[in-house]
Amino acid sequence: MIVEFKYAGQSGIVSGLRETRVGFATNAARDPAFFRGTMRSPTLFREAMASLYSVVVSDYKYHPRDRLAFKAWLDEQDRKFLANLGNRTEQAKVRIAALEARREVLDQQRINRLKPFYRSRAEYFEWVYTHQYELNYLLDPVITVHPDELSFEAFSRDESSYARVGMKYDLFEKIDEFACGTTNIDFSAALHGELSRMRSYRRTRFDIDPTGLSMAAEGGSSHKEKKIDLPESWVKGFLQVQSSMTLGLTRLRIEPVDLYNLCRFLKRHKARTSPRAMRWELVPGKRARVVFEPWEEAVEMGASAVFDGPKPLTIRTWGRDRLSTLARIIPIAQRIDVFLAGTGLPTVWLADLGEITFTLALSGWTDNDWTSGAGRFDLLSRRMDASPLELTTTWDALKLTRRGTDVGLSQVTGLGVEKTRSALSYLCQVGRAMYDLGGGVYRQRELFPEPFTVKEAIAAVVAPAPSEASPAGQRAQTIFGSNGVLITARRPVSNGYKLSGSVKGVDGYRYRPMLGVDAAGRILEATCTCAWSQKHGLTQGPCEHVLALRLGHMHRLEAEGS
Amino acid sequence: MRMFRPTGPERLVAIAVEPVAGSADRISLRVQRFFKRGALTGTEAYGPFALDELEDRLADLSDDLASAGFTRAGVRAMLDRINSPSARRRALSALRLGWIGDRTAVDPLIDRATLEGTELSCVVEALGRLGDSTAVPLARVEAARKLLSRRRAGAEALRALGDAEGMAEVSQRAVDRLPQAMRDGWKAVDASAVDEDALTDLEAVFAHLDVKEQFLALDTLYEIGAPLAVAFVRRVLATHADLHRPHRWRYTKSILRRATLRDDGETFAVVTRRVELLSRKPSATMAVVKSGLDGQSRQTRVFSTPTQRHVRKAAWRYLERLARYRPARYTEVAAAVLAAYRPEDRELPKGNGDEWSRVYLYNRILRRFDGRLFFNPKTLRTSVVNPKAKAALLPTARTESFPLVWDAYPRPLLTLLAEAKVVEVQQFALRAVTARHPELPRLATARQLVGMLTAVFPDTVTLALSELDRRFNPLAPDWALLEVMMADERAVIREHAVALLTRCADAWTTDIERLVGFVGSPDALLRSTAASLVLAALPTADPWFRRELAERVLAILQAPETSEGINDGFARVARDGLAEELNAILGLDEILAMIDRGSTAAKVAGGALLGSRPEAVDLLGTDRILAMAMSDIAAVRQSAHALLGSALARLRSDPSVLFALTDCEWKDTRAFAFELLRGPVDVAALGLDGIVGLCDSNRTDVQEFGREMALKHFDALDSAALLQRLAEHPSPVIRRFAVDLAVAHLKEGFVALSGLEAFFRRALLDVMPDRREKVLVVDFLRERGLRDERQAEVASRVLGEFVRTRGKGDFERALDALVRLKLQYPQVDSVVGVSA
Repeated sequence: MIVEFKYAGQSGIVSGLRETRVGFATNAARDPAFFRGTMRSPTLFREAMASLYSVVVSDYKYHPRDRLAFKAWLDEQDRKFLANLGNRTEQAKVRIAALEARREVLDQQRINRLKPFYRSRAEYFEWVYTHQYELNYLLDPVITVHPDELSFEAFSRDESSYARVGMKYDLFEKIDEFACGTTNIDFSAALHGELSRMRSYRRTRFDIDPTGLSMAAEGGSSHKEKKIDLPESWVKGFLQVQSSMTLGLTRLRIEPVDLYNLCRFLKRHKARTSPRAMRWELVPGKRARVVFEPWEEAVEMGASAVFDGPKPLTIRTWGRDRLSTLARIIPIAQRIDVFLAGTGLPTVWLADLGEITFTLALSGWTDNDWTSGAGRFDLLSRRMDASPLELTTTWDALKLTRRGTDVGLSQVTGLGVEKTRSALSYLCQVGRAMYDLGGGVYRQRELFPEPFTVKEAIAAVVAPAPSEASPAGQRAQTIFGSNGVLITARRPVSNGYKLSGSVKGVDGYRYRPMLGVDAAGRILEATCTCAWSQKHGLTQGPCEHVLALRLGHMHRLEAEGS
Repeated sequence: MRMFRPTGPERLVAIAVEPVAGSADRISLRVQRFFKRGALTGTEAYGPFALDELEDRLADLSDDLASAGFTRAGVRAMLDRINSPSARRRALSALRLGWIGDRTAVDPLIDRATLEGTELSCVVEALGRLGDSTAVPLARVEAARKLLSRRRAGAEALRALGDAEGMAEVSQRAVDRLPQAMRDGWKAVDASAVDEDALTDLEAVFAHLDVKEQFLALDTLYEIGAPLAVAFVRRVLATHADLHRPHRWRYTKSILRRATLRDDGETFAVVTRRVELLSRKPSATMAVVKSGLDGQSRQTRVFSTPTQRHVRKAAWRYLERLARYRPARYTEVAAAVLAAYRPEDRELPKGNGDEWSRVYLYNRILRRFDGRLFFNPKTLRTSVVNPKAKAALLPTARTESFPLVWDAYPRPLLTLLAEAKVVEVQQFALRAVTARHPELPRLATARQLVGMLTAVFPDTVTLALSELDRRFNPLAPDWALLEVMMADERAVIREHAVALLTRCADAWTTDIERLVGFVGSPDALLRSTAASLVLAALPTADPWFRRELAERVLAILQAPETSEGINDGFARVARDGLAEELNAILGLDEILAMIDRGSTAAKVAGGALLGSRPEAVDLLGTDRILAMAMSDIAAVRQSAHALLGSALARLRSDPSVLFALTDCEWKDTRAFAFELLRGPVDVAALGLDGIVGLCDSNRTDVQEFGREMALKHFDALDSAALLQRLAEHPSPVIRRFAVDLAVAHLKEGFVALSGLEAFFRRALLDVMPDRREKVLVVDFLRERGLRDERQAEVASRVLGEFVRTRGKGDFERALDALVRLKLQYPQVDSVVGVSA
């Protein structure tokens, strides 16, 4: 999908001796969302945005070394060897050696002579690279003006990290005017550099506006357009993040110094061999420990990180180097909440900076990115059917209030909590809403410029739910339809049900899935004896046997209800 | 040449070509008449005459003898054999008749062709070689056949006979036969000229053809025979990895056959070299292919060892026939073959072999009579007779085949010197030139001379340089040679051209047309050197010449650039050599127009001119000069610097202009601003805001300058405010500076210390901190905390958090500080406690 970013102005910061003006140019092709105010704590904003930028440009995927130069050298050696084959006499060899030596001297002289040229060329290439990279590859952050906060959301370059900066309006000493909505902002390396010049001793005007700073470039207009091939998977990434945030997550509150210790260790140690996981050891009533593999070095968290779960847990997460993107906010953070989903599953870091909340969601490991990796966290959720009318009603309610809990919104819509929750899930899936883990509320956040229409609502509900549309979901339906599900044990627990069953797979063999679901049918934990589940666990979503067992359970629930 | 008649007192005539003593390019013909071999009956001599007339004189002589009943030796025997019951003998005799070239064979061959035996293709080929137009109707019929061998023979005969109409039909049919994609591609290019882009386009089309169609298309293109088609065929054959595979080899063979019929040495060389290299390892393939003879599909071994041997031997037979019947063509084709080999074609020596043992044609052409080598006709390998003996060849020894032919037609030796990449081949050619044809380099074309300059053999380069020296007269340079050298794609040749251009600078720096051509050359080195030479010559040039040149250069600069950077030489000349003349011609408005709207070169020239016009300051205004000081063009920036430098009084009254320049993205402009702010303009006028503004920059040099100014004016500034502001800087360098200032100058009391609490926290919680900085902060907090209780609270809070980090060295220092604070002020909250 080619998405056009059209900026009538230019984002930028003008720092005078006594005043700074921050202007973010918004995508003119989208909602006319705007915001104008004066900042109270610009340095807080500066640090949060610096972290967001470090997430946006980060790429921790493995990139093999470029061996072109080595191959060229090898070819040169071959050429020399073959060229010298015919020269058998000592005299010839001596002469060739002398000539080679002379050539090396001349080459070195030429290199020295051309050093300024090479340096300038390298600088030019760097400029071209940065310019083109920003223009063609960096996906500008999505900015949303909410009634109570401003938020910036973005994915990293490797699409394995998602970051969100939520700025409460307390950050501003004066708010002139604003209009809620979602749009993109022009965000460049130069802007990042300028952001670092923000100071509290300068009055800081903060404008989000289609014209940005309206700085006319010399000899022409500052109009800038980007056309980026926005992958469907990127949109899917937003959905996956939402899905993972609504999972049953294990929460730990740590102190900034704990994060400092983790980052410091990672900065000073680079693992050359596997395993490279960061192992969370959680024992009820005790402080959480993080063990770094392969050195088995343990870092004990602070007093606030006492685990209050019912039984000991060990959770391994990978792609730990991505934590270094949080380094800038450590000194200004007041507390940090860590949400763990399970081994190889996403981790969410929520840093409370006072008037700003910084959210960093990391996929299970770097290669299992949010947007195109194998993660299928949407399969873990379960929702009821919703009609197009219910969907538009919920969307209208959300549009009216701009934010709200599922309970609060259900009162507005009059649809009931479960129905509203399902409708919100649909809206999240089509990019019309988001779940704010920090605030525990749903917010309106339009990923696309086009308004939400009845037609789209019909398309959203007619399209099968992810759990049904996926191959695993379809196989689960087949299994359930052929009476292949036998629930062997089912007991209610405090947060839902624990189930075990025997499922006859499509291959004819019987498997024994075990499942923990909440009252809404969301999978909290699951295991299965099938090979796929043994290999991947839940890192790539549940297997068809688990989904089939859940179908059996939901069917039983409905029967009991009637 | 020998001629024979069966009857009469003189039955044998031998014609010999003899050089005229003392005259290299004149020859004479000696005719000896015999009754029979050994029985001489008379001798005649004709000439002397020029070498160029040889063929005409020989033709006259043979016509005279033919009228007396003589025919070329062997013709009668071949004419007898042409009616042999054996098809093989008929075919061979027809081919031999074609080589001999006696036109008395034309009618018998046409008669034979009417019988349409299996030797028909050979008969048509022979008629083509004979070049008699009476064979055209037959060739046209054959060229329209479907069977490849007959069509090929007919088409190539028509080409040899020069039948333009027949060839047009052949080409049209060939184009129609091309696969659709290739046909479209072929129609889209200009076939008459060899153009790199067209070749690339054809390559792209070729790559997407079906494998079975690729080489069929290639053979068809070669049949068309346009220069572009031939160049394309050569390129593909030289690079394609699998020309010996099924569906390809058949057409490769066909192209080789066509190349021999056309005496196309380069294509012949490309194919034979690839065959030689492919023959080194087993490369035969079994495949079901359709026979060209009977149309049946059979399981066949493609490119088998016998086939390889046959092709290699046939290639040498062809060269031998050339040497015997077309000696002038022999040296050309042999030179093309030798020039095609590359150093990487060598092999690691095995047993008695050497690097070239398995390259059959190379050995036949170049080392046939080397007494140290032994040729095995069964394996076609040449091995060293005695590997341990290290006998060198005598300088006069001749190892090549047909040395007399090489002596008679030495011109292709220049091809070898210019194009051969193998050292031994270069040595052979150089030895022949220096020993027997020292005058030959004088005949080298400019292109050959240029090729010799980049030869792999140093002595060849020396020879080329000496010839270049001989030819090049700085007072009357060979402009044509210079043009060829300057247009060469190899940088080293263009460097030679530049060197020559420098030698003859006097001959062109006074000629405006040539000067403009060189200074506006597409080659950057040439442009730059030419501009330097012009600049060196201008001080002594006549005033009228300078004026005229200035006008010409101005016209060029004011016109749009044809390609980026092409006018930079003119900009240099204008800036450094013609400023005076241009200032006289141009008004201020025109200069500004050049800067505003001109090309980069025009901006450079305009900028240089503007710098010498101080009156422009008032006209332009400060904002405009500021914008110019930040321009992308260095010369424009420099002119802005010059203008600002001439307006110091204005800058002293308002230094904020310079403050804006300190954060310019160009280093030279920043350096200019620093220089003024250090000297004539006082930065202190900007106050604390100005100095902190400098430190707040993201550029390290500006930060450094800001630090320098802060220290210089520290006494005049509010130190507390300065510290408070510097403490917010995110750069570790400025943070360290602020730490040093705080340690040395922070005011006494709780208020000053608590104001920097967040700063100290940031310094200590940096993931990659400066060790010395941490030590300074911990010691400072300890020291200040010990002074009073409230400061102890601040210090305990910061150190209490820091002590929980995992830094081993700093842990003890921080703990020590905390303990001391706790002992002094037990009531202060701390992470450490005092037990009784």
